[in-house]
Amino acid sequence: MSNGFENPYVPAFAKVIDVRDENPTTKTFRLKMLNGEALRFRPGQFDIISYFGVGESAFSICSSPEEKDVFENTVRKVGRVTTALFNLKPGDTLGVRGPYGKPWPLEKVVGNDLILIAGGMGLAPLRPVIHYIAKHRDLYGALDILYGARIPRDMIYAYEFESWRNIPNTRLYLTVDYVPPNVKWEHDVGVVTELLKYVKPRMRYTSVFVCGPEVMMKFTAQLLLRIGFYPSEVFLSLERRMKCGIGKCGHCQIGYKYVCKDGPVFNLEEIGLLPDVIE
Amino acid sequence: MAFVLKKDELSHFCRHIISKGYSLFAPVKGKFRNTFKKISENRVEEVSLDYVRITMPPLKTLLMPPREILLRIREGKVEEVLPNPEDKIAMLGVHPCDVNATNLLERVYMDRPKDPYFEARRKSLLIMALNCKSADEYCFCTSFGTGPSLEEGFDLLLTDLGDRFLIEAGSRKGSELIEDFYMSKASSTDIMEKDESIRRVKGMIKRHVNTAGLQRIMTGALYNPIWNELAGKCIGCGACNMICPTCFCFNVIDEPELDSGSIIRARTWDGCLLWEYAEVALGGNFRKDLSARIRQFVNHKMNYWLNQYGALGCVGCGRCIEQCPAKIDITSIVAMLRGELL
Ligand SMILES: Cc1cc2nc3c(=O)[nH]c(=O)nc-3n(C[C@H](O)[C@H](O)[C@H](O)COP(=O)(O)OP(=O)(O)OC[C@H]3O[C@@H](n4cnc5c(N)ncnc54)[C@H](O)[C@@H]3O)c2cc1C
Ligand code: SF4
Ligand code: FES
Repeated sequence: MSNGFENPYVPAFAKVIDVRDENPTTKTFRLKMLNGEALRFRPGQFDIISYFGVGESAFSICSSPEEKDVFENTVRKVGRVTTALFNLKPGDTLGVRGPYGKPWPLEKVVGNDLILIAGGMGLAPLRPVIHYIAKHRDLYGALDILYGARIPRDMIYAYEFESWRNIPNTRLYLTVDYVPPNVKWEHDVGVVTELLKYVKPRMRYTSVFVCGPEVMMKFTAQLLLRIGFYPSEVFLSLERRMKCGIGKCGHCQIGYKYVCKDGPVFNLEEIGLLPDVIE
Repeated sequence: MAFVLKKDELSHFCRHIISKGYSLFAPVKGKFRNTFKKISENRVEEVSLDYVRITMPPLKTLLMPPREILLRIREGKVEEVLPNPEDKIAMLGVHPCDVNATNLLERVYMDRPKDPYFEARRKSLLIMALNCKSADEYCFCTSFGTGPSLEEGFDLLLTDLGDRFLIEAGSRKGSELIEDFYMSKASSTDIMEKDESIRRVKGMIKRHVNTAGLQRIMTGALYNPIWNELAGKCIGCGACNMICPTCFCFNVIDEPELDSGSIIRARTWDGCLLWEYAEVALGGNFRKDLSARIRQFVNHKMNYWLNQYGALGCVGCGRCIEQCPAKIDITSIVAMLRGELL
């Protein structure tokens, strides 16, 4: 049947090991490949999950890259595929292709301070970075994590925040747009970029990884440049419609770049030359 | 080695190809204009190689069908629905622009990881190209060196010399096919007539794109008001994408296959002029404005292709100009951006 051709469109099967509720519309699925192989990935890469009969969608692989035979995807329920996935229970199977895409440049920024800026679901592709740095702490300088969400309850991975704060030379700053009545909140209120006031960057030696809604990334990028960060040291992870993940279906193109294979991580020097980025 | 095939022997030639185990596709007279059809042995007389342009790009339609099943999912198993590599297909009478467009599609689909569906069909395909014997007001292939004659990329190449065709082989597969089909050898007069015919057709081509330094000009014009002006004319129908022989974008859909109780995953042609093309969840769309979508189409062909695949993505076939209901003309867009047209 395979005719000797490798078929990149054929997904492998994975089994749902565990499901965690992150917030009312977001769940994290812990997955294991049925063929026993590990999904070896690097922080910032994504996979394409199939719910057969409904379709495929791209998700950031959000677990620790050091974990050998299990991996995680956090899914926000926004449409057809994500709703179907939402109903999966431990023991169910789904299809997986990947990993795809260019990861965060963790090797390139060794020795630098790192600032991670995330909005909402944008924390998903940054979580493996945090886990990786925790394991290889001496390779990097200061780590500042700035995370913003709409309301306190929306924050994903909140159960890990304490352990992130305990990573040496690491600070986690949180902010929300709005605190509903009777909700306790001892952190900031406002947009995520305001958290930059807590950080003392050593410009040339500081790299910034940003992921969130495209408007949030636009304002963040503009502000970072104004403060004096180097465009070559500011990296964004972009989202586009994706139908293949391998540079064939065309959908993810921005200018001459394919988000699926040239990205999703790009630095501001690359993005500055492209049209149609940031509505 | 070149040969000569008398025109009244064309049917005989077609029968020979079919006898070699090929499914033969060739142009036949349609209601309005020629179309490519599968030719059965008893209908070889219908083959009509007299045409300027066929609306549907024949090679793209064959290599990457408008709708194609990729996978069938049944009882928890994923089956690939690959084309059978034993199905040998011969396309007769394809013009140079379409052959060159196929070479461009190869850069996309044969780039790693290869697309196994395209690859399987391409491997079982024999191309018998036909140099153009006339051109119309929409043709502009000379701007890209993609026509009206062909130098490579074919198995056999035909040139219409009035009462006969000159036949040249461009591959081993092509030579083998005509090995045991008797034809007289071409003379130097035949070759001179071919050159003369091509010169004549070149002279008929009145439309041009100046490609000198084009990429720099296109990139410099990304924020030119012309895109907004065009958005006032364009209706976003995507016809240009669909009939373009180098447009390769596709959508993927899952559907139940009711009779077999399985699920199929199929791909269908998609195009960047369509609103849904860059749509994402929760109402997001990265090319909401028609101006951004037109800019994508024109720049992909005339700019981004060069970075992505080392060649411009247009072959000058003229289809998008001829078919556009809003009469938008990619050659005059380029000319305007170059300041060559007011
Ligand atoms: C690199 C990358 C990483 C991502 N990581 C995550 C993640 O970690 N968690 C998460 O919840 N979401 C993530 N997304 C977004 C997620 O892919 C979309 O939310 C999802 O595809 C929506 O599919 P749907 O069928 O539920 O929505 P619908 O609105 O029903 O979508 C219909 C179709 O449009 C396509 N589509 C719609 N929105 C998108 C989109 N944003 N991106 C790509 N295709 C889309 C889908 O293929 C789908 O078939 C990521 C997207 C990309 C490109
Ligand atoms: S992006 Fe547009 S112009 Fe480019 S191949 Fe796809 S449909 Fe054609
Ligand atoms: S997702 Fe298909 S080309 Fe990038």
